[in-house]
Amino acid sequence: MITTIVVGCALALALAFTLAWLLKPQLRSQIEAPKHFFQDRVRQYDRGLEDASGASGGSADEA
Amino acid sequence: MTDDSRNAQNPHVETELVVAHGIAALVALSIAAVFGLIVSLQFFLPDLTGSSLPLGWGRLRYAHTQGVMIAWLGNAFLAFLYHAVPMLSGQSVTSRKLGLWLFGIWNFAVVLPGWVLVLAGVSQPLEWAEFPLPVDAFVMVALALAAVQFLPAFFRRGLETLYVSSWYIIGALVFTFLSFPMGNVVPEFVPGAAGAAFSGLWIHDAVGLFVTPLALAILYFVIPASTGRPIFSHFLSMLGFWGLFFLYPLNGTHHYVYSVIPMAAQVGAIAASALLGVIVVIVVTNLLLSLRGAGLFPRDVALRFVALATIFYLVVSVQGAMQAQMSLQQAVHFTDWVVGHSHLAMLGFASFAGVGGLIHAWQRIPSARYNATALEVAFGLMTLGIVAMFVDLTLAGLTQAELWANGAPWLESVRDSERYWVTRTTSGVLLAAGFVAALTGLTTGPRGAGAQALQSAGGAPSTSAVTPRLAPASAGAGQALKMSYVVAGVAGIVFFAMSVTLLGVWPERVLATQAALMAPANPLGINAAEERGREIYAREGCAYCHTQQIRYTEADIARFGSPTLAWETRFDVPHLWGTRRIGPDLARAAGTRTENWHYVHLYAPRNVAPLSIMPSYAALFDGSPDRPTQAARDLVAYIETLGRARALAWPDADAAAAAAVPNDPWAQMAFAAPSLNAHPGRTQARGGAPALDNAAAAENGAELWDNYCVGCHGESGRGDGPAAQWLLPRPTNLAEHEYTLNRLTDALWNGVYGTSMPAWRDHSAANRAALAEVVLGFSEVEPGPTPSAAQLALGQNVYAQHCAECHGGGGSGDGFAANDLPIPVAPTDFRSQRIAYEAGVGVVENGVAGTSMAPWTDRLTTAEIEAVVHYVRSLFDGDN
Repeated sequence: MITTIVVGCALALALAFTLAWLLKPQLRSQIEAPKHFFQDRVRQYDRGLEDASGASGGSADEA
Repeated sequence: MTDDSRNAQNPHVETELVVAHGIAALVALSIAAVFGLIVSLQFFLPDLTGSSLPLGWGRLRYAHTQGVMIAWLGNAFLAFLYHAVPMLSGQSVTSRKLGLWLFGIWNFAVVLPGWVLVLAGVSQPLEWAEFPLPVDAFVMVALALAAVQFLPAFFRRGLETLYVSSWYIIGALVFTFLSFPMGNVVPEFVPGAAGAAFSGLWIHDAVGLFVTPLALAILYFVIPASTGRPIFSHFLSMLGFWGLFFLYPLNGTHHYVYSVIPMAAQVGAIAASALLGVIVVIVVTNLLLSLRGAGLFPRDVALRFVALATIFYLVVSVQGAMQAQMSLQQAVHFTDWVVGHSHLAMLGFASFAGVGGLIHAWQRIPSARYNATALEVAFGLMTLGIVAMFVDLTLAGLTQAELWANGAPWLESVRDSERYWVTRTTSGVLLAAGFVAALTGLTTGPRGAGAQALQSAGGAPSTSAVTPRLAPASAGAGQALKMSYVVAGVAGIVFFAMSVTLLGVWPERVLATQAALMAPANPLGINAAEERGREIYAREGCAYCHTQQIRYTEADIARFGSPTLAWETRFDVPHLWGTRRIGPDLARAAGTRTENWHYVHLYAPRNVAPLSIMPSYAALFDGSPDRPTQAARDLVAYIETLGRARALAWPDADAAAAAAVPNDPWAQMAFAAPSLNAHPGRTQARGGAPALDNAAAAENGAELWDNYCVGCHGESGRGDGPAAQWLLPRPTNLAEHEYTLNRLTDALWNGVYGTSMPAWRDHSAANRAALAEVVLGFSEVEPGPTPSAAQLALGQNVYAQHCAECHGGGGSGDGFAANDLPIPVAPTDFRSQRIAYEAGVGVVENGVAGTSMAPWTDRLTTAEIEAVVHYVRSLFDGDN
């Protein structure tokens, strides 16, 4: 019984993801969007660091 | 320290807390590694720390694993969260002040007191849950504070915008808080097998719901941040996320396959393990595709750590799915294979992710010191170390599995493992050196050199253009996605609840019913002294070398006896089932060894078992084995309870239980076992020994003697081994005895009941024949003075009057009083052994301490004594 529940639920989960992917094309771009948002944030953060570094004179010191 | 990341565009990163947790993590890792190294050295240098209890194997083992998981990984993950959460959420964490509290609680209310208490002997004998309950309470407080610190940032914006790393962080903080009590608190209140079922949940959840999600959060974070490209598929990453959170909690019972825990729960966990392997392949495929273009050996050392962590994750997860399967599990469980698996998970996958995450964060802290050379060295040493350790322990596990399955003597598996254990320590030294190099890399070198190293590695992402890649989501699609995540989140909670119900609560009910059906009426419990002994056994980590569960497998039944039934564990709070067999299982230790033997074994293990690697517990004695403190007495008293209740009720209780559950094939397997206690060293009454053929004797008799017998009988068999002075009766001086082969055959097969001479039934007939040859060769018995006919007649008369009632009329040791002696050591059979004349006189004059043979000088004259010695010597008839 436990095995049936485990396998059944896992298959239902996989099926739900697959159906969503197949039947909701607009969902594909939506579900992929966070990786681009994240990438933009990382770039923005690193650019902010570069700007701050440039403003303060930049190079590593031996302090 | 300045925080150069503060600018108008970026959320505030608490760099001081990143650095504080990061350095605490690496310092803790180095300390935990030292604990681990000492533990590993004790496998082949068992006297390394003397008899110091705080530095004993068990306590250090507790401190090692808790140090790796809580002190190292906990701090490393918290450090990374302070760097990652603002970038993932676009929001600052809740409060710097809260962060200081969290740092303080984690390190000064959990890690430090946890280590101190464990080393002081205040602990729990539960895998991955060794810190005691008061410390556990602070862990719960810290987890709650961490949730308050990091989670609100994610919920200030829509769920549909959350990146996969955010999901893993949310999942880890929520589910660790829920699952932590399962293994750390529940087994303190739920006894035995049912408690083990809950413990099993945490053993896997600690890795699956705490370590893995946070390590994966780092992988999904560092890979795109370092390569400058988004991950291959966010869809696959979310499929993996939900798959892992659904399936990980359902794996727990696979740590107790072939146990008394209901088979339905075991098989369910095995199925979940196999499915989990599939999900991991999806996760890793997505990560590897995300690494495309970074090369096999990325120049950015942070990315290199993370890339290798991805590979380790694949290997360890596929291995885990395999070893959960019954056929492989039957062979490799309790061996070093599993230890290799856990090291690859915690020191390979998770630690490489942790170090990679720390380096990644450090590279972006302008005020942080950074030593690129040291970090390159760290990568090399850690990679060499963990690969060597994993391969070595896997081979060790396979070797042990083969020896155990073949029924080889237990100590052969210990002896054959030594080369692997030496290699393990060597690999551990490499790893530890790598950890120190990582600490050096992040605490020395120029400030801000991380960014330069990143630039020179060519791994710095382009920051020239920051433009949104996608048009804003349509309101409808965004809402649908949000709803689906909410539904999946609720389903995740339901799955977790389901895991607790199916693998914890339901088995507890089934086991309670089973215990009620199968337990004898009023089974014997344990008294206060035995309970105190149990606490000593638990605090010293005995269960981490000696399991207390005989599994439902042919190999276990043949070696240890009838499998453990649920009712037998009813007083085990918390359970002491164990997960590794370095020494043999002790579930049926009661009545297997003499009290004397136990004391010597605890005081100086190699005195009675030269190949043993058990640590000395001389601290429990007042200077020698014959002066045990109350603690030693309690401990031995506890050992003598293991399996006692069932042995006392056997066989009637087993027969009644078998009739009560006729349709339970696993229970019937327990009742059909050939013997309740199959320990090959357990002594038994004379008779039934298979004949030995000296012509087929092994050629390594001398080596066998050195490995197994020299501790008691001494190098030349004179009964003067290092343990001899503490054993009663003393080991026989074989030089002054002459034996028939039949007598030796019997003694080697049955041992000598009532003495510390064990049986050697686990040795082959060839080995036993070889040992018999060695013993025969020790004899220096000479004919002695020739008795006159009158002396023999006098001796026969004396014998009939004073000796025959024990030794039997014919001298076969079968007198009418033989079975009712105050000390139950069987009287000597004079037909199968002959003592040297002078020694025989000494025995009659002085008696034999530790047996019922009394001195006779007050009742016999010298002439009578000499006569009776002549007479009993005349009874010897060789092998005729």
